[in-house]
Amino acid sequence: MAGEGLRARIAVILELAGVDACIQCGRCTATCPAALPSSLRAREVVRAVQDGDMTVVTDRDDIWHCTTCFSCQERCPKGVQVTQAILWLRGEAVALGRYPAPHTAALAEISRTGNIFPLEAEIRAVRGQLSLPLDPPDCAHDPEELAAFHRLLEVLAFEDLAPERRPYAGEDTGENTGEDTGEDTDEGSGGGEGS
Amino acid sequence: MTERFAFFPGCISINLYPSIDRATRLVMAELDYELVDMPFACCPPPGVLRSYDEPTWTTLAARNLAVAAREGLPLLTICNGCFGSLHEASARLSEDVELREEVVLALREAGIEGAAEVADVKVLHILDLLGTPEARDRISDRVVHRLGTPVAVHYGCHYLRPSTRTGRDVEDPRVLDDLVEIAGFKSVPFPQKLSCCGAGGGAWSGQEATSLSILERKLGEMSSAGAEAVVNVCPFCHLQFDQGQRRLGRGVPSVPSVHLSQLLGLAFGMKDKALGLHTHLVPARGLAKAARSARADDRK
Repeated sequence: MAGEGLRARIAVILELAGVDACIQCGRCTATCPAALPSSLRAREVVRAVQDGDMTVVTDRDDIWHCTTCFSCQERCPKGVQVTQAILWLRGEAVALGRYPAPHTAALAEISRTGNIFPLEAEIRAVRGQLSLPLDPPDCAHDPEELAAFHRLLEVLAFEDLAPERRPYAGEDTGENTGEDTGEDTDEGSGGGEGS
Repeated sequence: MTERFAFFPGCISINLYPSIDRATRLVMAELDYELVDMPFACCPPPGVLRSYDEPTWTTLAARNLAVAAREGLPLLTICNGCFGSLHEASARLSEDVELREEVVLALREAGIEGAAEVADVKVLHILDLLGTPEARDRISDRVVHRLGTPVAVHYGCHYLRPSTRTGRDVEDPRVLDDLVEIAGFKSVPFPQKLSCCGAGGGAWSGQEATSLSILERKLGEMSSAGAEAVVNVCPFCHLQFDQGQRRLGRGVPSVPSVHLSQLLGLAFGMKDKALGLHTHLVPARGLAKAARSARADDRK
């Protein structure tokens, strides 16, 4: 699937993010909090896609270690929108089924209640102890609003946002919590618990 | 006249840390700001959903703006993540007519009221409000206990960056340090103060090892600087600090987390239990004890 369409879309991403101005100084990587504990190297990601190496999108999960803290973008001396570029590259990865397993559950939760973090019974009780209404006055607890929210998800084809996940080669199965990704996985996720 | 705001607590404070929801309501009432509840949904997340599809992310954020527009009120967030999504969406809807038309069309098709005014809603972070000279004066007037406890101030990412959008001083911000000190606490300096807590971008759920490693380093810096607690302005950072310390396990320096609203509540003489400090996984016992002792002294 990593054909000409992908290359063309990535060329647009690079242009919109101003990646042409990159001088490979490495300040992005130097300021990146994820660079120390992970394989993410913002400078290398930028260079790879500039050079036409699409594997950072198609085959590698480095870009998913970004915490979107915007330090790289903030400190880039050439004004490259590094974080924005990574976010857009992720969008291309998603279209190829490349994303962290626990995100599936997170999106499903938005689709169900409108919130990425749902209200569990235990916390509902804590709300009561703190003199808050047991049910928050949010969209999730307003049937008409929730119905309109669900209609909006239909308009946006939210259910089709991500194709079925394709696990990365050699995914770490050490700390897998067995997140159900809806696929007959022969390997697990490299992540923690779902949201 | 009491200023009114469309209150956007965010799903973490309502559904995981109601202590922050409650403390904010108590403190804002004390400061004579009125919070209006509205049927908001998820901001939606600036890490996960924005990565998946920006138009979808923008449209779901716009639904919240439409809800706030019904009352014509500025939207007040107490979370950096919510601010990051809603503020960015609001800016894009204001400057990009084509995007706005598409978004309004989708909202109308779903029958969302307030769709036409999505670009008119002002999005504020709680620091935007409490950092104003008037609010600082009000806070100063309400402080009854100057506890003096040393705390680490954590601004978090999406309140600050990108500055091209937020217009903030991102290398030496003072607003939160100032509020903490006005409230009688001591803001301790520590390295990498403005760096990430490690939770954002979908890393909290998707890349646990990376996320916790970033957190561990921060906790170490804060603890070495003598901080007895970390003060945040974002329930997601709070979640990372509180749950993350548990996930990291033993051997990690304990730095309990409190939201700014909880810290202000203590300074205003409110009970630590009313502010829900005891409901955190790593309760800020030192702060609670100092506050109790100050309250006991008052009664002597």
